[in-house]
Amino acid sequence: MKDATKQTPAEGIDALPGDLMMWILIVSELLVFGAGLAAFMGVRLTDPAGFSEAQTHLNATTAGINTVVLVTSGWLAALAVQASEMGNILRTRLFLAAASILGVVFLVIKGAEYADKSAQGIDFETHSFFLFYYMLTGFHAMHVIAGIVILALVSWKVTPRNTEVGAAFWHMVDLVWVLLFPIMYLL
Amino acid sequence: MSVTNAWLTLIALSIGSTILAHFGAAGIFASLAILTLAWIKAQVILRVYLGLQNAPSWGRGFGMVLAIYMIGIMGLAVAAS
Amino acid sequence: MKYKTQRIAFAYFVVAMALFAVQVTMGLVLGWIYVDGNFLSELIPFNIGRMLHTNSLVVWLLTGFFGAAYFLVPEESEQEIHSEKLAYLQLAILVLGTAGVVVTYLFNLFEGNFLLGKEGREFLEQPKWVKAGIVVAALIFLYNISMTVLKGKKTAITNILLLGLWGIALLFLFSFYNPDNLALDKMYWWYVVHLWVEGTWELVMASILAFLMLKLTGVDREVVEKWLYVIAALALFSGILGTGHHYFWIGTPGYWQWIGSIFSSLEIVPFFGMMAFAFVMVWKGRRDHPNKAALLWSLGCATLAFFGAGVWGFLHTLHGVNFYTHGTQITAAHGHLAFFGAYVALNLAIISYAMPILRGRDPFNQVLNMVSFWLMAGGMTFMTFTLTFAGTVQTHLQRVNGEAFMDVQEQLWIFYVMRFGSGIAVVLGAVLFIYAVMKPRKEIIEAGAVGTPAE
Repeated sequence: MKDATKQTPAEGIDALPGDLMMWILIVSELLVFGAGLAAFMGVRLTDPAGFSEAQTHLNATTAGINTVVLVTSGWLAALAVQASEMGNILRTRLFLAAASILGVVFLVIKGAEYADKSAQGIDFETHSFFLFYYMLTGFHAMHVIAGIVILALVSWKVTPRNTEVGAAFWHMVDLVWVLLFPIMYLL
Repeated sequence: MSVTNAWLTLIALSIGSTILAHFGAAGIFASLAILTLAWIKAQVILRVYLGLQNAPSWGRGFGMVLAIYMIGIMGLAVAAS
Repeated sequence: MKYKTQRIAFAYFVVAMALFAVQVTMGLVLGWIYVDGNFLSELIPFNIGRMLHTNSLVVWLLTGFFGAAYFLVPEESEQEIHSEKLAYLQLAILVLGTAGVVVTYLFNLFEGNFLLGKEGREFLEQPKWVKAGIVVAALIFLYNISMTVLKGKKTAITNILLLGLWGIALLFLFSFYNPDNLALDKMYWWYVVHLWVEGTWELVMASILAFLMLKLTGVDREVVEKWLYVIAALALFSGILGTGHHYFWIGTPGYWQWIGSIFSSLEIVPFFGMMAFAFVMVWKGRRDHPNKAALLWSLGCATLAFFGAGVWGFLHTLHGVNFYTHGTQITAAHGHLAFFGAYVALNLAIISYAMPILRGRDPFNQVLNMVSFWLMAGGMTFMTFTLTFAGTVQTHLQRVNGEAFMDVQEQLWIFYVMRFGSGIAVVLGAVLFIYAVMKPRKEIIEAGAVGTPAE
């Protein structure tokens, strides 16, 4: 089976790197976040001034730092996959641990951001901007938590396939953030 | 592209968009520039981190849907300005 | 019949079909009440009739699922059912509970009694003792099936089926929780039947369809299982939060409007997946199975489920649309085609497949069965259209123009007359179906060549 795939390039579903079920999940998640961000942009049309005003309450700098944290974490996860493919389990675990620690850093910064909002008395009913803000970033943060759990499970049972599947989830979290961040914080 | 090059690209693009947003650039052209940077970043993550560069047909499919989506978002950004 | 305990399914299917007859008969009565508002108003008030119509639907579908599980689990896990006696005990409890419900509703016995009287909660109004009985029956069932699967072979079909069945039982526990706060009450209320039909029942549906496809088309198990896992994952991903579309106007926080709209829009995907699955399997399959009726029902099920649950569901799931259509005849249109397509047709498909085997007369008179498919499917489709048009008119008159409810109902009369007509077709189809699987002995259709399974 393995030899056959080496000789002829895989086609269709088999060409997807990693696990089909993970791709189903990734596509589903992207559809959900994509729809959420599109809805945000749509509702923004109804009140551009209110949305701009609300956005001034966000801290784009810390969120920008979070972007760097997350893409770096994604890089470490990608390196873990390479280490795993070379059969170096210790190296894989170290990269996965580093990726997870950056995930925790992301959550800490996010938590500080939420604490700041809450200190300003802002909740999801303050303005529809904040409804989307809490809903989408909150959903995303939950996926960061889930991703950390998945990376922990992967480093418990390191195989090239497990690492690839776990890292794929982590990259999806990354991907969502690089779209969410500019749309919500910078536009 | 190697994963390390991808990472460096992503960092550079992120810094770029933060600088754009931070130092005065406002208005619709800044928005479109920021969205373009995000588009490239998403493309890099899909192709390199998620490995779609090794599955060209899937890479094209995802790239196409992403393109339609980003153009839609840009359209909404223009409409709001 | 490869395993002798599969015969348990026969008793379940007979009870299911008897309740099916009750359900559609009640439906016809209700359909006439829409035409003549005072019909039977003293004897069976509308709300009681509706309770019987919806409750018997849910109970017979569940009974059918139980029967299907008792039929397919032995074959899948290559193992006799753990205890035949328990299976019959479970059925007896269900029948007793159902009879108790019907009598309690019709005569409103023990009103206000904590244990014996009906509870005021719409659709979950079963008296407490019946609810407890359902839990006991469910526990017996799960024990019986789980033990069988644990002893035997574990396949993707039994895995997904068990996941769905356990989910059904656990979610039913929410029917015991009845908070005083009406908004909270409504919120938990949706956890029962709607997390069923948008979640766990879809798992049951996918696994039964997978079993039927495996048997009827002869496609490799490996292929069927891949589809099954993908469909199950999509159903759970979209369905659990998709239930949020019921939270729009019941006092829950505003974010549910977006969560519900976005996730429930994706609920069409697993239904599309099931339709694609069924047709791709038939197209790829190399087996010409003699039981054409079961194949017709399977394909009809997947198709009508896609339209009824998927398309008609999406039609009014976005909160901007639902703001106007909530609780109009649009909902009734969706409810009828979704339940019929997804779950009624599924049960009738597995019954059509299993009954000839259970009764040792394979193949059987399928012409009548297939006629009944077209009668029921045609009637139901027509009913869906009339109710959709009625709902559209109602939405405009009542929600946009703001006319009074009863004035609007008056103007919808012609649609209700047409709906009654389509209801007659459905009832005739149902009676014909029951006759076709129970009665005729003569073989009319030639047994097709049973091809060798694809290897």
